[in-house]
Amino acid sequence: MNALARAASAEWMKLRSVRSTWWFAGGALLTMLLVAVLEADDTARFLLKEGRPVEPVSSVLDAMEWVQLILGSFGMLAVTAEYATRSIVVTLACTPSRTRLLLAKTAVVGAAVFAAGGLIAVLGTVAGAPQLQRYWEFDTAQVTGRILSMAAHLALIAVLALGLGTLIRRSAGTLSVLFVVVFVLPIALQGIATSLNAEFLNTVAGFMPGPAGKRFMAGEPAFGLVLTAWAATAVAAGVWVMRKRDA
Amino acid sequence: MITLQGLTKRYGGKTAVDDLTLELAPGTVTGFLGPNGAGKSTTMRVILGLDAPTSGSALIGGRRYADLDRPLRTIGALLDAKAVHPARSGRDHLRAMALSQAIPLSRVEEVLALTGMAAAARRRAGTYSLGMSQRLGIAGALLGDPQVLMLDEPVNGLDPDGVRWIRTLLRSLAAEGRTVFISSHLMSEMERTADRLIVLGQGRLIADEPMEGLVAGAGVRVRGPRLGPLADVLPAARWTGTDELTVTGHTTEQIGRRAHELGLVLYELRPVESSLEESYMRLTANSVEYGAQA
Ligand SMILES: Nc1ncnc2c1ncn2[C@@H]1O[C@H](COP(=O)(O)OP(=O)(O)OP(=O)(O)O)[C@@H](O)[C@H]1O
Ligand SMILES: [Mg+2]
Repeated sequence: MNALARAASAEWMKLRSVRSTWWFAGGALLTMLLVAVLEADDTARFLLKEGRPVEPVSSVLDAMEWVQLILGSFGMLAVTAEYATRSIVVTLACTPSRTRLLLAKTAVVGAAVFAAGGLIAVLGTVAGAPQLQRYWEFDTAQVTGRILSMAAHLALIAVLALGLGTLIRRSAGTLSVLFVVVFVLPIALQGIATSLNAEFLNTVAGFMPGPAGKRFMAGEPAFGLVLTAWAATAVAAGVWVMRKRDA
Repeated sequence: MITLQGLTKRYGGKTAVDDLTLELAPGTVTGFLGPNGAGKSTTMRVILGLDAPTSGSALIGGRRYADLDRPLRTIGALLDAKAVHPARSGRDHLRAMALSQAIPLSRVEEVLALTGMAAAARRRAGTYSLGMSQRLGIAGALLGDPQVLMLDEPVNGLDPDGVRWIRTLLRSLAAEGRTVFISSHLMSEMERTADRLIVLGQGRLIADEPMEGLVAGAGVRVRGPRLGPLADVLPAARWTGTDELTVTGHTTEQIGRRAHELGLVLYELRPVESSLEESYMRLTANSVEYGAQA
């Protein structure tokens, strides 16, 4: 087994051997089910009033706002929990290459969140179906595509948080920055755009991780690349900083 | 084998390790001593590649830590026993370490048994006592069956049984030709475990000697009710108590004869060794940074 695969298998062992991992998965699922069911009718009626089609995943997309924060925190903890407990010392003794370590963490967190996120999206769709099926137009290929892009979106947000966590090292600080980058900054930019009449700021806001992810999930694959660029940049910055800095 | 060459580590303006050059040989237990803040842990962190040296180098068998392929198979280390995720069981902690080195998981059970942690292996590490954490850390250091073992204050928190166990273990590992490097503040324990001592003071090397060099004969202890005349004729005599002299450079025979000539009554006349503690205190007297103000 090569060095990266060894590091990844150790990271996977670490993830599944703490209970908090399962709490995050359960919390994300519960949030998804609650929102997908409770919002189903409202969402469907709102879409119809706007003259937009109702999709089987319409209320699941609403739930993404919350689920992405939960799974983002999960991704972040893969790094910040190690700094908080100082177990990063043992981890780096086992895998001294910072690049390899962060690639392994990225792969494991990304794959775990992709799988869990996809499953959660499917279950959310099923849970919302009794209410939505009156309104929806079911297109298997479209639903499959949506669910895959939601899973990818969640995985990329988790990896973005992992990269930010590596830069910042503390959970509270990382969560604040993640929240600002995903939610606050786009809204702030849009606000400034309106008051200054500067349309390009709206465009910039559209390329922030939150809005880009939304358009990705709504069926614009190009914005998946934008989100991927954000996540990759965060991890690359994390690698760079970790290589320079004492553990 | 560990080789440090002009190793210097500064944190901001603070020099934690200052131009340290040394070589640790296989087959010996080397003790690493020095007051709080002397730079012992920092030296070990640099050896493990956790902190980058400001200048100089630290090599293990001629290679930097970062260049070792499966490092735990070359050097096992314990720096901080509490540096474990509290929610993970001791067994899973070791399993993750083993997977990262392609060490078979059966080895995890071996080191758990060896360190007496088998019964507690399923429990979350956060529930371990200090001594149990220390044992888990030692299990991790032994996991890769390494040629070099480096432990920062390993006996800290161990019960007397554990202290004796680790002493025997370290001695037998050195006897197998491995390099053992341990720091400790427990002089009596060091005296019984180490072959060679390295003493650091404010980041600088202040002594690097075989154990015999530091605990060699310190003189003859003489006790009696009226030793004034003896002190007058023996310039190498020091008062070490109200009725006690310590004399260097003379044998017990010479001193006994002298006392007889002076007509003195003696209660005690015996050669004494200076303890490691005494030698250590003497060596580090000028480099204690964080001492209590008497
Ligand atoms: N990350 C750091 N940032 C700033 N200063 C540091 C850092 N790590 C260590 N130091 C300083 O370096 C010096 C050496 O510390 P070190 O922990 O190596 O001492 P030590 O010999 O292990 O002491 P002790 O016996 O108390 O364990 C101390 O003055 C310490 O404050
Ligand atoms: Mg220390």
